[in-house]
Amino acid sequence: MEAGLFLSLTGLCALASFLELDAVYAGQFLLSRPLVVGTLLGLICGDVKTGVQFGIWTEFLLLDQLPVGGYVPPSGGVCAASAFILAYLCMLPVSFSFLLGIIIGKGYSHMESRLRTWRNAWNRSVEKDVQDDAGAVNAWMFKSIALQFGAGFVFIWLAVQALSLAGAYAWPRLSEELRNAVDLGYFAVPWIGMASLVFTLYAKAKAAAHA
Amino acid sequence: MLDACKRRIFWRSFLIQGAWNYERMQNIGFAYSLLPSLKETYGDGPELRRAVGRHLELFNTQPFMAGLVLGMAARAEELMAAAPEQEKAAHEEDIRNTKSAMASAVAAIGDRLFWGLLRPLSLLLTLVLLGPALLKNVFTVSEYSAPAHVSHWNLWLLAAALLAGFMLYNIPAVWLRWRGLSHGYECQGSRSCGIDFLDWHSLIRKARFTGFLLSAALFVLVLSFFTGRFLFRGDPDYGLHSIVVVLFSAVAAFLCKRFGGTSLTGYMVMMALFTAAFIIF
Repeated sequence: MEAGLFLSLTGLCALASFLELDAVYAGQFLLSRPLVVGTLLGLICGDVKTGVQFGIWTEFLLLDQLPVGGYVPPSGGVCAASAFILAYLCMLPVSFSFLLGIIIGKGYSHMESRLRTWRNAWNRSVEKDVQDDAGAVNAWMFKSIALQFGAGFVFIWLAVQALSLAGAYAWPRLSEELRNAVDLGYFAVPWIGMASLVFTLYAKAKAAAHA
Repeated sequence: MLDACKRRIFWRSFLIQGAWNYERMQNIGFAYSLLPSLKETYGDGPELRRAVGRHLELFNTQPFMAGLVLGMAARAEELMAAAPEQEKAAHEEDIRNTKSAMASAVAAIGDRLFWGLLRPLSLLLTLVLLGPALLKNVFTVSEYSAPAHVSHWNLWLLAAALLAGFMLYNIPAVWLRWRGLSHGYECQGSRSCGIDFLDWHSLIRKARFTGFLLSAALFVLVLSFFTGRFLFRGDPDYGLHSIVVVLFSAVAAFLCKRFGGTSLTGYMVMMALFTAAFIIF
């Protein structure tokens, strides 16, 4: 891999992981929403259309998956960022990059679930440390956020690398029917998303009218 | 609670989910956010360490509503510190119960309002404001093979639309975090604190109607653009196949919603159907 490409990939993955912290761990300002992540990456790389398109498509597809309780939905920000990197840096077709981005976003949510489970064991250590120094809770908080950023970055970087290689190998070997289906599926995404949004909000408005 | 302390709790509350775990959820974040108030109440002695330990128990709520519980807990700790020794155990139990009751009640409101309504509403507002630029630049998916480098995108319009959506979501969220802290503190430990803070029912009702109108407007706008380009201008990029895909997608989305599926399920089903159709025909 060329040095410039390697640095661009690393920088974009680090930015995606940093913005993803906003989804749960720090802020929740919606800076991690796919539209923002896609637009930002598009602006940085000079391909606004693809960035915004991935952002809107991902929003439409994942908008009905809410992070309520312990449920970890597929990460929209990671999906849009990975799809953009695959299309822009790895030169995979846009429709296929989007599909691979969804897989990475889904994989990211599994990784996050594992991290949350792993942090269960921290509770005993935090309690023990707090008995000696109440301020220890600050150190644990920063350790947690640093871990999340680092793990997110490594995951996105490795996943994009692996799927770019797999994608570059698989795409030309897919049957024409399958390639057309992936293209049409990509075209259908905003319509599926918009229609499901209209139905969901209609049901909510109807319920509100009867309440 | 001093103003400086309130400000510190407010800033720290943005990290309330910073150490989320399945066993006790936001417990570390809650103790971390409340630490300035506990320091102000107990100083640096063993009482402070016991108080922080108390707040490392299970806690989970919607993050924007956490200010209400943090404010209530800060006040309840002050009352407990001032109470006679024999009443402290009862106070401790009361803090635990009130925290748990409030967290569940306000989380239900916050989830519906922020995740369920304001998040899609802010997206819809952005898209409706983008309007023609969006239709011209983004929905034109005629070429799939390579990313298109678009130079004529109106970046100012894009920035303004994104900012409008950002503000629609964040102004109420940040305001609620800040105001909730004061309101929770003034509640003096009442378990109904937060429920009577605003007319949530009316707010959610209005947001639901607005959301439906905006989503319907966007759908009609985009659909009329596509059908108009094909029917009246004969533009081949917006051909009959596009309209068929749009109709099939809408039906797939409706069926998915009807049977409890998600949009992601709809996308997968559509790709399977397209593959089958290409193979058969």
